[in-house]
Amino acid sequence: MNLQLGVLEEIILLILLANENTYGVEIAKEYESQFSQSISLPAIHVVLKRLEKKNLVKSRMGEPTAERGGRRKRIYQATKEGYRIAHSLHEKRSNLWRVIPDFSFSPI
Amino acid sequence: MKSPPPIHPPKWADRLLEGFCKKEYLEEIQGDLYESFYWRLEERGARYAKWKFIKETLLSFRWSNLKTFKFMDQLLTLLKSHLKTGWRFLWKTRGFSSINIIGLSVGIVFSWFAYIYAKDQLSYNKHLYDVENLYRMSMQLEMFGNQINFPGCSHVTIDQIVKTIPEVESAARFTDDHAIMQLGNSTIDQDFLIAEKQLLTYLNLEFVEGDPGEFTAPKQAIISESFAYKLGLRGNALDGNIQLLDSTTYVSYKITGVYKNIPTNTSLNADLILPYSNYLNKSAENATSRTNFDLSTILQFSANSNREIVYSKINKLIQTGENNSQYIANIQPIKDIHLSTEYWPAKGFLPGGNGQLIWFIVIAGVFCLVISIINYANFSISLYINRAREVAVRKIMGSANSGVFQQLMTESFLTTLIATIISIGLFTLIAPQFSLLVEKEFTLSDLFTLEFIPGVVAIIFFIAIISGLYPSFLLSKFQILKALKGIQKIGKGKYVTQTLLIIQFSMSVILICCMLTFKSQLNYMLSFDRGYNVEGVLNIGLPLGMNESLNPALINNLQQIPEISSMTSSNGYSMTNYQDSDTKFSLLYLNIDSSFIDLMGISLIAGESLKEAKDNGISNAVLVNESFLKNYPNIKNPIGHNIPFKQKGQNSSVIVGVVRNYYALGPKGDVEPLAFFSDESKRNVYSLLIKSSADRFTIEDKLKSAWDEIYAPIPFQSTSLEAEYNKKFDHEAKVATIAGTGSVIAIFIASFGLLGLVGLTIQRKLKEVSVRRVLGAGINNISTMLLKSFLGPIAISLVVGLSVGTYLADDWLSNYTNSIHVGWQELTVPAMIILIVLISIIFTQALRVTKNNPIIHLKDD
Repeated sequence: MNLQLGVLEEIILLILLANENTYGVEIAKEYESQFSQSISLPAIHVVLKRLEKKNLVKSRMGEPTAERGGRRKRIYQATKEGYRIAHSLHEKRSNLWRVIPDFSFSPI
Repeated sequence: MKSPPPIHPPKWADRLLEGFCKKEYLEEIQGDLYESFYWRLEERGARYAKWKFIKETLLSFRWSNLKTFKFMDQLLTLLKSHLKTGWRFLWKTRGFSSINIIGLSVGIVFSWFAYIYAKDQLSYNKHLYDVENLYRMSMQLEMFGNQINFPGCSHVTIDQIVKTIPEVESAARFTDDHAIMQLGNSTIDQDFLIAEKQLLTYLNLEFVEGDPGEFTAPKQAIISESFAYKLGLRGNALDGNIQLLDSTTYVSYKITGVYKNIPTNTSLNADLILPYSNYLNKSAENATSRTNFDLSTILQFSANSNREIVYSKINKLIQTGENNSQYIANIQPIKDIHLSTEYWPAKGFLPGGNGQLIWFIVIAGVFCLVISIINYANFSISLYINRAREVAVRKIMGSANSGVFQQLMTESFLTTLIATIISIGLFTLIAPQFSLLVEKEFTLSDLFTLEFIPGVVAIIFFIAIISGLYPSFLLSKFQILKALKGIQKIGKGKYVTQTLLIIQFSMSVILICCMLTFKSQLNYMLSFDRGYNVEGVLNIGLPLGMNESLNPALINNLQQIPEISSMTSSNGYSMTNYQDSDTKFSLLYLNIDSSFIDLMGISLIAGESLKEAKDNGISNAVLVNESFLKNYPNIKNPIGHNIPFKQKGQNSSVIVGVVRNYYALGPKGDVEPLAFFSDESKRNVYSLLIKSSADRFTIEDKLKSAWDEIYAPIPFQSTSLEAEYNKKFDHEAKVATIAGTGSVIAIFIASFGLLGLVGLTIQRKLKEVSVRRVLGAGINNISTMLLKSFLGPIAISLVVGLSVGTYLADDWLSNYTNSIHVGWQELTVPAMIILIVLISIIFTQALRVTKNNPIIHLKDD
């Protein structure tokens, strides 16, 4: 599978894989708690749209809530394809990690 | 459930989102933004949340989620169709269109050169610190009617000015010098500045390595980055030394700082700066003299001072008290120095630019642009007449006047856009030649500055509107049925075309006329009877510090060269205020040796030479020229007359001979009164003149080896006097080149325009031409018919162009004392050129049409 993923794309895909049925604001919160670094909502929206186009996530409209002024949220969910891609990326990385000699860079 | 907080997201941002975001994305984006707003409100406070909300709202706009508005959609489709039609039309008429586009791009290129050159020249010295308050000191020396603003001041006077006048905040004194410098294994003659530290502040020098420190130690130096590179000292310049030759030994100056290169648009530039103490140490007199005006000085006035008040204070100081001098001090704003011709060149300042040159370049550029715009308008009108049917069909299909108008304007924009793009390519091609002409490097990067984008937009809009507006307007008002029937002709269009043709050709004629005048004036001055003959005379420059007396060994070496027929040395002309009982004038004088008059080819028209006079026992002999005698109208026989010219400790001299007037300083002014005397004991020699029978290049090697034997490693330098003389007309040569290039381009573009117009006229009158041909008309008949319709406007433009051109040329010539008069040549040549162009164009076009079978054109309708 020759699908390129950006770093932010990959992180958001991973967040989606970890939390089923999540949406924009929750992704932002998760991101900020993981990386202690703020991220803008439009950036997340753009990435989500891109992932959706690549069929790595799918979305549906949720229920309206009061905090949103009665608006519905768009709930995202990773697809099987998304899982496969993320997994294969992880595997390739681990393979690479395995051949990195520890001693030359270890702090001791 | 929490109660809703009293703070809400900013309403306007919300509305903006609602107004412009596509429906299907709105709910999600807006919902997320709201939710995160309240979340941030709780965590970080209202200000942060609001600010984030606005920022993220604006960032949310992407091309993909923008609402599509109906009018935008329509506009886009319309524009697409206009562009498509426009492109097809351009392609269909590609012959004419390419003429149009080439003409326009040449015009644009010329105006760009004019723009960057004028901008560069007008930006001079703006980089200086506090430039608005910087002034250059100068002394106005009165020389019997001649006011000379000598830009200098003495060391002592400046000290006094700074001390006693509170409005003068600071001053920087400096001067320039040059010396032989060691550079690796070779030597170069290096110019440098000797300056006070304050000058470094004015220059806004930025140091990349080291610093100037106090800049008082005499044996230190600071250099520019590019000079450090040249010396091979980049990065480690502070370890290096500069070796400068002082008479016979090299003196070492420690490099203490490297500064970023000074911008090129400056009057003050130096690669090497030495501390001011070098000037004071040079001669004891420098620190005490009040009349030694050879120091350039910049004064900084305090920001709110009144210039006039400071000016009068300075003069009061100079003219009273211990100074008590007769001189008037002047102050010259630094920002005016570069282009002002009233100000003499000064030590340490680079030679000024030329305002006249800027004007000529700008005028040539604007003329070329206007001519090409006219070409475009003319073509458009004429082509549109041919396009009447297309327009009519458009209108029948329901297009409104505005639709046709838009179509035509789009085409005009398209053409201009293509021309602008081509002009950038042309710019890179011509830039090297242009740089050579104005003696300053210009590249594409000078064009791509901050103003480039708005400039290009302005140019495109300006040209497109100017050239396309009238034709578009004319055609959109067209009446359909009449056009389809072929009844309506654009009557007005014809007059406009002819008027524009007249303007165009008048401009070309003006340029040609000016160019011819400049060229003949230049030739006149170059071949002017100067009254002396320096053919084959070489000037060998002697390095500074050796000019005390001529080295006899060098003379001996030179005498061994058989080609050299004679030699003389010169110390340059000096000027004095000459005063006799009933006359006073400024007098040039020159201390010469016995061979000077012969070598320079100056003719002695009365009396005897200085050598003969000396042999006859006259020790205070003097030769004068004819101009000198003009001031003594009462003397019938000047030989033997005593004049109060001081030499050799005597208060008077005896005129022993008269020389013919010769233009020592070139023919731009009158011949000044002149006196020659000979005093071997007081000759400081600056240059050695030799006359040889051989060609300069064959003798140069021999001269060089004779020189090197004695003076090596000091480089040998020689120039021919003829070349030095021609150099005085560099400015005229440049003006002539610019006018020449401008007129060639102008006539070129205009001829293309005419070619197109004649072609279009034939096309429009194809039926008439064909009928005539069937009835037996030959090429002569058809040419005459065409000539009739074009001769009128061309004749008018000749009259207009020649009268304006000769007026301008006369005006320019009045700057010269010795000038040509605008003669028959300047009048007939432009007329001939234009008529030949016209006739040949008409003839070739007529020839083309007579080659076809006329029946073809008569078959349709």
